[in-house]
Amino acid sequence: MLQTKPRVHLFITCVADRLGVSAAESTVNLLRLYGCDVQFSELQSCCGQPAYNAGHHDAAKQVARYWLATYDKLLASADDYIVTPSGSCGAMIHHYKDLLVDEPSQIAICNRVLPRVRELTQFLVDDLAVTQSFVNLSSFTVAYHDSCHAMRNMGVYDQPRALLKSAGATLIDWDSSCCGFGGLFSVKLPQISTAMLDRKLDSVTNVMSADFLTSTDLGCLLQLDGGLQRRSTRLRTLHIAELLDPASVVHAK
Amino acid sequence: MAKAEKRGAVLRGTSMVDSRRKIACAELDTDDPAGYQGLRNIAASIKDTVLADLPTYLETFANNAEAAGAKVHFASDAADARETIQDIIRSKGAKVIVKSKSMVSEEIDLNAALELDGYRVIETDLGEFILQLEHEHPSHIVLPAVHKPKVEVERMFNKLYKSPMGASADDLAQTARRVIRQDFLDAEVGISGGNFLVADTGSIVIVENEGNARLTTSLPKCHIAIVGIEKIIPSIDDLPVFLNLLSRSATGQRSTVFVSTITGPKTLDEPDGPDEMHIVLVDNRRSTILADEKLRPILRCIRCAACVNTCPVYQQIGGHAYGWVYTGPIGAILDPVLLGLEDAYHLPYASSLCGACTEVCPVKIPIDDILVEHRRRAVNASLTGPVEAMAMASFATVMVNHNLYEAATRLAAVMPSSNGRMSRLPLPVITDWQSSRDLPAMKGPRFRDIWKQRLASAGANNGS
Amino acid sequence: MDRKKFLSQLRAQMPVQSTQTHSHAPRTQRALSVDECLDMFVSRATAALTHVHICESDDEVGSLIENIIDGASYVNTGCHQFAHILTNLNGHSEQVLTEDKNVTFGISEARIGVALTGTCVLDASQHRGGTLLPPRHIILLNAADIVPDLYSAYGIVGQSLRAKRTSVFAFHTGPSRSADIEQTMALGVHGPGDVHVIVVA
Repeated sequence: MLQTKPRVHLFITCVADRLGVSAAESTVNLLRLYGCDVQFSELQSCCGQPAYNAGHHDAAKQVARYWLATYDKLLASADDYIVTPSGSCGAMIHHYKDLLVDEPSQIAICNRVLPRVRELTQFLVDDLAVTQSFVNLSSFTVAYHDSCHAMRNMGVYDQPRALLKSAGATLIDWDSSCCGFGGLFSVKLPQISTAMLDRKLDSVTNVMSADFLTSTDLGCLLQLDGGLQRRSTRLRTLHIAELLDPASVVHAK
Repeated sequence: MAKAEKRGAVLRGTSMVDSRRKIACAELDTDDPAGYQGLRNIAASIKDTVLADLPTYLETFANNAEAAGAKVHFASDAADARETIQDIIRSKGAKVIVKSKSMVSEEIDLNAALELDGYRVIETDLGEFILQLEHEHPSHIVLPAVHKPKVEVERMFNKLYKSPMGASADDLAQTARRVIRQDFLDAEVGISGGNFLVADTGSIVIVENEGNARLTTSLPKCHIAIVGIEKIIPSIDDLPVFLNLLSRSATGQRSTVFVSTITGPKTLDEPDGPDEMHIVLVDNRRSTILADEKLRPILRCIRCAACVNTCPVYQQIGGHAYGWVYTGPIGAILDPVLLGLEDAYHLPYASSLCGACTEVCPVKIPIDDILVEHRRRAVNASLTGPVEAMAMASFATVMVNHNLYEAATRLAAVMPSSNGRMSRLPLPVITDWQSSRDLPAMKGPRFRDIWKQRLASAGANNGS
Repeated sequence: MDRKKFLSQLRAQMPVQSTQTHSHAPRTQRALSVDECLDMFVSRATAALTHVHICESDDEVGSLIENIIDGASYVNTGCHQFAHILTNLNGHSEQVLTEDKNVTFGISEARIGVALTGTCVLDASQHRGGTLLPPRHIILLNAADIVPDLYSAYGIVGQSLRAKRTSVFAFHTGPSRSADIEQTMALGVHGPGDVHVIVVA
């Protein structure tokens, strides 16, 4: 008997749509390699996090209602998943219940939709029980950066590490603090944000060395890569999907 | 002193204490039947119980403390608290007052008032003593002088006490001990803070490492404890829960060196101790927090400063950047209430919302949620300005309208770029980002274009 | 401010009472046998920089104290249980402590020992100044008085307070210390910088 393919609706996020195209593409490749039926709705946009974090909750609520309506329509069965390559955006979806607490009809949608939301590595490891890799990273040293929101709000910690290890990568133990992105924080208080960034980058370029710096969050990667571009280093920033996807530029010979 | 040197001292000091905290808290999983996470839940729930019925607990505490011979005073605001203490001291004919650490006394600016009255007031905690000599304020709740490089202390002690340059931390501490010892012996009044008020016994509990609080509460004939009304716990049986969490979270110790449970002044058959004990319970806008369901968890705080030590923003900017008594994440949620949102709304924005603070809080205050709540209130009170409000309204308009989203993300491709990086542009937000970081080019197809071009069909070929 | 007014204002500000029932502190203490308590106490007190000695007899205690104080001056802060040992010390005269004048040792007696924290509990029957002002402190502790953890220790403190008021219970864990100067540990900042606990088994 043929096992039914898990159906995955991508929440690719506005950041990946515009600034993380190859990460997004690798996400699709990877999900397909692991046997998923991958769907993408062009109606999607953003999770609303910029407005929520800045305290503009009327704006955030508008975006949240739109997001919920979009995905509520997409979920064809209660077994469908919504998978995002950006942990912080996934974590934002889980704030909707608090944000829309006064709107019972929205809460009803939250109760249907939110339990189906996964971060990519979380989905692969926890739901698909992935243990085999399609790539060989055994000649690489990798610095994995925990997205604060993926780690603290979605419980993403072991999963990306397990995937990288299953591909044979050597992981280094480096500075574990926040990269200093924090959305608007990074442009409202650029000096503090950069000081936090420098602390991390110093740890991985001066104190230790690695071939790749990776994460499950496109916001963090924007910040980390933006800082690395200003340094002379062989270290490259890639989304974890790109590292694990055999079709990505890393593995092209 | 170079700013970088201070920043280095803050980062090193807080990181060291933070890593000790981690180890000590993890040990609770074997040391305590409830485990570390279990204890956090119990502590939060005990505090919530008290806060839900605070007036009753305060009354019980006051009755029991007075039955034990202490005099309990209630102060509604800073001025009331200062005057209460000034009145007590005036009747003592005091000249010298020794103080052990009290954040509430900083909050109400007590020292300045007492000095105006002509008393000599000596901060006896080593860190606070050092700061007092330089007329500085603490930059941290638990490690008041964490920002101060040792060489600055050497220089000051050299000038004042002829201590040699290059003196060890031990030697510097011995110098301070010698100087302050005489003040302890001379003082007529000792002023302390209090970490806990125990309702069922009427005791105050003070946690410390140096012994200066024990001396402050033992040698002078009159002891005044000044404590915030939120520090109540129901029973002495609850105390171990909080002591286990406080010492491990604050300094990574299993227990601090001294924990004093003080119940009234000395009894007739005890050899020494104060003849008189006053407890001044201070509201100073705490009742405002109490009345506010969203902010109320702030009052669970036991001032361990674990959130401060772990905060990557604090580690970079230090405490004085917060501009007031309470610093770090707890300051960023407390100060906007104690000072008023208008004067402190910028503090909750000084956070990347990384949530490290919430993760380490021993009483589970949702600090990052409350930071966002303050931001929401700042926006509602129009404190963040019309430009931001317009930007956010347009953001939402674009994100909920498919055609606008399509147009905006296409339009982004006109931003000039070279080598895959966006060129430097004199635009708001972009300039701030590019001050220290590159931004990738927005040229080329979006993901949705690639999906349409090749990914959607590839999936169909893949078959299902 | 007047208490009644203060409390009624506070009550007026309270939102509608939500009934809170708090999960009580676990009263189950760590199960440790008498021997385990002693071992744990020794290791945890040592980790807190206390010098721990174990003695089997009064004579042994006496000569150990003579050894430690080595002719220096001391005050007896109010030992009851072990008073007889102190009166028989050879060649030492007990000082009366009024001020901090050249007294090197305070010798006191703990009411409780706490195994998991390596703590000695002194109560206000001990002269407070004598336990704090001299630079060195010797605490005598009966091995039978060591309890497993803070829950059991504060259980005893609570019982005792309900029976008879004692102005202070002071939990001492190791020498006075400060890390206020660039996180470098300095001992003996205000209280004793050298602490010996003699456990009498």
